[in-house]
Amino acid sequence: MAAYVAQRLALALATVLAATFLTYVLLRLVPGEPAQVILTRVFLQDQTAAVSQQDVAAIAGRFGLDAPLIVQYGRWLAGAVTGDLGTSIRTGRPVTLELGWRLSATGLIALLATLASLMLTFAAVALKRSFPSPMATRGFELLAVGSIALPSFFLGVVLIILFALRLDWLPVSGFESWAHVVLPVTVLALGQFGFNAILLDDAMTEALAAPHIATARAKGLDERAILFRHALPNAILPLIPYLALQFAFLIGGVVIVERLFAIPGLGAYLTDALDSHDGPAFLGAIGVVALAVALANLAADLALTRLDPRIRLKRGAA
Amino acid sequence: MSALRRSDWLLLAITALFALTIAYGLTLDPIDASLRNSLRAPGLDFPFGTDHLGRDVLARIAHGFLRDVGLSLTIIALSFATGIAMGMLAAELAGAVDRALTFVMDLLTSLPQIVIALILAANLGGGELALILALSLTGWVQYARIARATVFSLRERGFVTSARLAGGSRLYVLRRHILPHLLPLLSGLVALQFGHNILNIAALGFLGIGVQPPAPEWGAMIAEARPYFSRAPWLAIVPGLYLFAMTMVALMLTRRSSFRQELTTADPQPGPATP
Repeated sequence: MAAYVAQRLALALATVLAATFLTYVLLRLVPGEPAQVILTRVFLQDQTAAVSQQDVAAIAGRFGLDAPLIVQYGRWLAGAVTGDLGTSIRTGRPVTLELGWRLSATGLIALLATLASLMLTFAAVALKRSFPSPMATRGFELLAVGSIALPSFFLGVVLIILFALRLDWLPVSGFESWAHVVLPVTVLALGQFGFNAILLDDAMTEALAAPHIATARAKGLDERAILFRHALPNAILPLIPYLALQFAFLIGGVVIVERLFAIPGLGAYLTDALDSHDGPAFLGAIGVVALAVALANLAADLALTRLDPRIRLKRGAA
Repeated sequence: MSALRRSDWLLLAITALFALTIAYGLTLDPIDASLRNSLRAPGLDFPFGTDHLGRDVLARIAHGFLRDVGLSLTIIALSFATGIAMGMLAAELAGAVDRALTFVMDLLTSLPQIVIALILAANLGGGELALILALSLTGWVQYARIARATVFSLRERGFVTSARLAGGSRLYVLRRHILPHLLPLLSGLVALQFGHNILNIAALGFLGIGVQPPAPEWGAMIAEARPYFSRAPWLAIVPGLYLFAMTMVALMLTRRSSFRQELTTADPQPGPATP
């Protein structure tokens, strides 16, 4: 067990290191001298401006761009470990501070979306199982696959046009009140719903095939009690680690939803930093995303082995 | 062969309608702009209306379809070939090579595909090359995982052992005796990846780091329609409906196929990597 945990922990660490190092190198390999790019694009706001070598050297010195790549990455990493992710080129504020603000917005939306998608999932599966019929099965399948096939940005656009512009019930975009949260959370929750529903439903089928269900039925228990007290707890089990695994999927959705609804979260920070060539901000955000996803995957692995006694890690055990 | 179900007829009808409109749209010019015709509502002249530059939305949808399908197939071809090669390599050489490749696969699937695309775009500045690279880089892993597992399980089977005993080289055994077993398994994954690719290409186009304007692309069309949501909602809704219909058909076909069981057990990463 300890060896397994150590191995998964090593993978999590390696993920973060590999992602940030790759990002670091790719950012630095952008065509054009990086110091010159910073000077012309950010300080002068004019890419074709003539600049003196002296100014470029001054910028390179100020941002530490004159050392070898690996040394620069080492410096960044040493700072990152102590919580210093450098200074945003665009705003001049510490990246760590900015990311802190952004994380709270993203965290709130992600949490609400996960809760909403779970409620939808349980409701859909409970409905389908309580009233079994070919119609219910087809409807459930269409709903679930539809939710996976529906692109989040399209759903978001339709909801904006309908509820914000036509009916004027909710704000179009921004992040100022609870009303601003409704549409983005709906979009994210519906995106997650399809996969959760298919997973829980498959797990229910498996749980209902277990011998103790036959016993319960033979005992004369009513179908509701069998479904919800005897089958559901076993079906929920596989869903728990998948929720953690789904975190990566959620982050991908957050990037799009935050851009669409102009929410000042982590995803918008990432795309804004990319658009404005803000290297430190981009790198810091990638680091946070990689760390969060790695921790979620780690939690999923550990939860899976702890929750399900059927999974044995020792080799040779049946 | 059972008779077609009613829902199959519906699927067929949608596909036919889809194909007909695309075929008609392909005869029109997607770039030709005339400001005189800007923001026309759907009507007889322009079945799906025109955008802010007066370009025909139907023409742009049809040409965007060709582009998205072409990109998706390119990514599938790259992922498929790389995946099979890497999976067979890992299983055949085993040991350190297998561990290293498995580690790389774990690394690549632990980050969201969109984030990997963003990282590549930071260097390549968006565009179709960055898009193909980003989606292939993450796409091959699923093929490789299945290929690796299958080679491991086939290796000890009688027909493989006898082929080896008969003096067949490693490459010969892999190509003539193992590959034919892999292909049907992996082909089911193709339909699934096709749907996911279409979604991802459009998502990256929407974020402005995929296909670049003025080339027509569905996701980018939705993003471009943003300032005109209230005046010209069809600009965003029509490409979105096409995108939804195409992905839906691809995913329904995947679920219909017998491959489904294979997917739920072989794929540790849930759902499409991007919404």
